[in-house]
Amino acid sequence: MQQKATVLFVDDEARILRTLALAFGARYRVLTANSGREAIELLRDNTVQVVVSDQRMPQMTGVEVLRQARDMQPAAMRILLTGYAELTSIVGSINDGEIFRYVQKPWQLDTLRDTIADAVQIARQSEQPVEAVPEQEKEAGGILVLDRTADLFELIQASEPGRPVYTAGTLEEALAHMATHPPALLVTDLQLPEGDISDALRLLKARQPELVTIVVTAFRDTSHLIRLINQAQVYRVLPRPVSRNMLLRSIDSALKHHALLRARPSLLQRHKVEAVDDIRIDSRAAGRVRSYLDRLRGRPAPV
Amino acid sequence: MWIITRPPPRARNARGRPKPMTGRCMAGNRSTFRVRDLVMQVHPIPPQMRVTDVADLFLAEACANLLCLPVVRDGVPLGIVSRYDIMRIFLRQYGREVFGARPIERFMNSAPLLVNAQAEIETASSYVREHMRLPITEDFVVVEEGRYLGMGMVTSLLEKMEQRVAARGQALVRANQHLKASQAHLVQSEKMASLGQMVAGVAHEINTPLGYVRSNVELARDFSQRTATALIAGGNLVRTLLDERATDEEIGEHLAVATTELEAVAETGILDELGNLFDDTLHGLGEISELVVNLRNFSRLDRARVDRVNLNECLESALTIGRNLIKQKAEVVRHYGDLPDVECAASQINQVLLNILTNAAQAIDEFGEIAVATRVLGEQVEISIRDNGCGMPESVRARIFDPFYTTKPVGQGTGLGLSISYQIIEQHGGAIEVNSTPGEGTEFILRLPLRQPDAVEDSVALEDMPEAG
Repeated sequence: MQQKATVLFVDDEARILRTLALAFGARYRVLTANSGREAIELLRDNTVQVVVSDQRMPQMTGVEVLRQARDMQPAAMRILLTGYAELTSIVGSINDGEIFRYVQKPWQLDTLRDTIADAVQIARQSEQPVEAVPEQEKEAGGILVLDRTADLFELIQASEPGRPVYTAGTLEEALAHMATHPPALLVTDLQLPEGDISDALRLLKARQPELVTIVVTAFRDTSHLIRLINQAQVYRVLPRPVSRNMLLRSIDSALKHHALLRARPSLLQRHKVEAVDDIRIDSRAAGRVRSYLDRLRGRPAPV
Repeated sequence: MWIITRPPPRARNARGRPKPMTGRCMAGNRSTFRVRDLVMQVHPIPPQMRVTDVADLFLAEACANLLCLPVVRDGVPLGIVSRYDIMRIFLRQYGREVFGARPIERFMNSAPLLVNAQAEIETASSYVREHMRLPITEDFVVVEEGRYLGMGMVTSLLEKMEQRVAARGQALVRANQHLKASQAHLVQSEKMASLGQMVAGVAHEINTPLGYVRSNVELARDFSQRTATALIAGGNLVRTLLDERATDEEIGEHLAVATTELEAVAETGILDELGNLFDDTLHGLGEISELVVNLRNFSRLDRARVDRVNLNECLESALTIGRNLIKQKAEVVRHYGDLPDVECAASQINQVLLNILTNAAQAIDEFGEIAVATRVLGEQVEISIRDNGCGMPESVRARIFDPFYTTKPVGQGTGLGLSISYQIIEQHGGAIEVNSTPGEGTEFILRLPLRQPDAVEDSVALEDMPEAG
């Protein structure tokens, strides 16, 4: 019989740890840590499949715990479980924590059970050590910039010589382009002439998990961003106006990530998105994506 | 004969005072008064007129109000002659007999005050004031393009100026009202912003106990279902054992089911923890009620505006409300003295305390300490809130109570928090003091008198102050 998977819970409230240990103790080997420091110590001595951390703790935030966990045990899946939906922690959990899910307190036990079960299964399937991706791999694939203004496109084009960089001003254009030249990386704003394209991104990621997305936005709605994590697994969120260095660093990292996904398709499921209720999504943008996906149907997956 | 006309008299009220100006004359209206508006048509006299005739003219009813008469030839003003001039002639011995028949031009003031009809009232007024001979014996001549237009009376100039000042006064009153209204608006916005922050903070704070309470209840529900199944299986087993007709096979079957169910119950591990589970749940509910009670105490919506309160309790209230922000930045160390109750508008004092505590937390970079201390100082209570955060240089310290001064990035602070705090403490007859050393930390010291003067207790002075939710 397979050994029980290990799940590490981090929270400064002992009662949270107690109830989680009770809820998951029968299924997994549960480790609990009362602080970030304790969590790091446990990560040093134990191989874990899933880390679930609170955000607001004295001395070390959950994002910081997850960031260190990512470096120490890249194969472990990371989940933030927090009562505070603040912009900084959400953006931090995307960019630094590269988290699998952002779960809000109070959680529903059944949903959390499913989420953790998912995470455990994915962690198990992508457990082999990740070998370095050959440098030439990074060179493959283009970048599609979906934005109303040209500044992002010009900046990226200038800093990525030799790499195909395309631009589209509307989702329609972008989809048409993607049908013929599937890009490695999509850099997009959330607000486009078609309106908010979050729903479209969620559908795209659900059907094309290999698409790596960087969202550049001035948008500050926290619940929206949480959905972008859980349902679209965006790779980075950068505030607008965007810092040049931050953008270029993110692009570099996203291209490497894409190359890794190409080399190891088993990693794709690490970005499995929450089931999106198609009926709930009825924006115009989502409709366009659906027809685009219909056109793609029958073709080999462009991985 | 000479025709003398006056401009139509200004409307006057019952007391004989000029009615306030209306319409276009009101403040804010940039239209200007010009000398033309107060010109009085006085028929001029020719330079050749005899002194005695001029004297007769002054005696005539129509000229009763005039100090002087203009001397004009071909529309060009040559001078003016005043009653005073005539009087001086006639006061000499045989003055009337000797000089009476001579032309008036030899006795007139040939350098009268000439004011252009287009001149603004203010300009004319300062010109007349500077050049006027004392005692005032003459008015001034109004000219247009060098030609005689009429006379201007110094008194009507004064009247116009007075109205002007009154209008300005009104404008100032209105500007002041406007300013007060916008300030009240800003104070209100600040209050709403801090209220919003506070509510968001407490709402989030409630999510933690809510998290484990909910989870525990869900666990208990699952557990009770499982236990119920096990109970039924156990009951079935007992019934089978007591049934004489039951076969060994049936007993074995029921035994197996009951054992499995009991194992399933044991496997959850909840049985041993059931006590803890319920204790935690009750604790969580206690936490939630405490937060709600604190929220209510903090706002004091259900209490009198001015109340007798224990400031230690106010500090605890503010610390609870601000806990979500404070707990990840600092350890709070309390040194509470034994305090008598203090008369104050508690909701306002709470707002001040929360404001200073959140500032203290924000001043700490990583993790530090906030020390709160209280003590009695004669007829006052002193509260000290000290952090070991980044501190501030004197240039910042000197300005922190200034309205709109903020060191936070745009959009993160209104710069009103401490200025409102300062006002609140001042209105209570207290004092607020700040000591800071860059790199070492900041200490705020508040002093509040135990009693408010009666006038304040009537909450007249405190009435206008912003109130924390």
